[in-house]
Amino acid sequence: MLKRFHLWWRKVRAIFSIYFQDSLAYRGQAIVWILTDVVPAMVMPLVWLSAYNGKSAIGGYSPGEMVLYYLCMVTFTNFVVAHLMWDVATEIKEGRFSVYLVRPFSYCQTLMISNLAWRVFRLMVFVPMLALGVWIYAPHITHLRYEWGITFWLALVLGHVVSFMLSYALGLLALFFQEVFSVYNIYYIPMLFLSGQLVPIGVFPDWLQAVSRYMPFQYTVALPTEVFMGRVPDSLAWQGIGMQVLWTVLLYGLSRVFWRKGLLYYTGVGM
Amino acid sequence: MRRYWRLYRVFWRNGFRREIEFRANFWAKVITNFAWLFFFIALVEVIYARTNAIAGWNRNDAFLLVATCYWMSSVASITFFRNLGMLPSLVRLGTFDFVVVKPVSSLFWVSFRFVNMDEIGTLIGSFAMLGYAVSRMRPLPDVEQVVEYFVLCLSGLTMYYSFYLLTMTTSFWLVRVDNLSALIDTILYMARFPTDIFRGILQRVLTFVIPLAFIATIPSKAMLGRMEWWLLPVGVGLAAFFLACAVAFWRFATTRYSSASS
Repeated sequence: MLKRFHLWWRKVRAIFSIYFQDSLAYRGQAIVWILTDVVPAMVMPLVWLSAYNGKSAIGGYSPGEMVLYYLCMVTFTNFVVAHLMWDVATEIKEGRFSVYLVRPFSYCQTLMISNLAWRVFRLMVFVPMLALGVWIYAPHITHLRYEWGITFWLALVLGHVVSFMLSYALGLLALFFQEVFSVYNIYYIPMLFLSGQLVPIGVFPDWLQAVSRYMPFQYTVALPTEVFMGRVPDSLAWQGIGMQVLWTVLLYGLSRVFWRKGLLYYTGVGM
Repeated sequence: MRRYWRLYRVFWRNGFRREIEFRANFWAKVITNFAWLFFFIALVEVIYARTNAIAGWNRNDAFLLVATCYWMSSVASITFFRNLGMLPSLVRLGTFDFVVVKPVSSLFWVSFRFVNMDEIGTLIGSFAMLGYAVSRMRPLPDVEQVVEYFVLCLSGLTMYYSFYLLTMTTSFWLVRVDNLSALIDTILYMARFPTDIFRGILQRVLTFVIPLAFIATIPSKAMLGRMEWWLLPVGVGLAAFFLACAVAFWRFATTRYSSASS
């Protein structure tokens, strides 16, 4: 048992280091991808700051909290939000997916580890950008009550798992359909809106907030951000974590079904 | 000149034929682009449900701004955006050789060869939005304002083209710049907000150095009759200046091109 675990751990480390080096090799492109997330998130506080017009709060956020929300959100996005369906679908379409089928290691785990390597790299590159953001917005940041406890860490890690499972299941759709890229393109619309990456969920009208509670998106990055800022009472935080677990199980089940059924359709282009 | 015009008409026909070959795919792309237009309308609605002005722009002004930004970027996508985006791979794979030997200006070929029809829906949609926003303006804009608007939009597009060309031309040296177009897209995303939200030095940088303000904010202000008059000649002048720089840089870069495969 221990020996098997040891073997597995060695594989994990090998995969991690390969993909970490891969990220390093394509660092120029990596920086551009990070900027595509960071630039809009860093501009939004300016939009809001010009929208208060003397009001003390919008959607329950004071100007300072609004600025802080975006800074925290964009920081967590680096770790939380996965976009791997594009890669999965491309690998399936071009037949490179076959390679993983014959390897003595699960595809899902390979993805998880490689994605993690990329996340770690991203965080490293992001730190100077965050420093710049904090420096620019420093006069507005007044909020000082942070929640570092177990609920935050759980919400953060599970947020990543939910996002990972969501994009993994979407990626496997490529086993069934040729043209999935338009589906992904449309997927980003509710995803960006309801995950809190565009505006805090609290800004939405009530009916949309209600809809959002039954979607997986706000449990990716909005939940850990709001927990971290101390905006969520403990009982609600645990409820959110419960939803994260529920969505993880559901999406994992769905991806298992896609995997089993989808492999029957997979033709292995280029073999 | 007439030859280029005739050629360009052939490119259009060609683009149209390519699209009707894969009709399902074409409609999927049109619908996706349309959905993204609604995405931004929804964002405006969400923000303006909570406030009635952002840096002095009310909801209707914001629609005008978003519509302006959208139709300009649709025109860019239909004409040059995708084409210039392919330049890095042309250089990397050495297929730029085939462009050089064609009996037309290689810059023309690289910029306009493929007409990208799937943004046509967005173009129509954003013009409808523009019409809606203008019809709700009180007082309605006079002819002078409308002319200024279109002149400034044209200069904005020229600046956009020049900047994109400048960036993409660096691929003759840097080779791997494939996703720089994603970066340009991101920068353009900022143009959808009034540049008045930026303060101090940053605002001046975004007007004169990276002329983002000319993409949507300044033309919209012209339409609203809120623009300082001197911005019109400055806009046209800057457009001419950036275009001249970009073309000169292109000329310089192509003389350095030394093929990749042969």
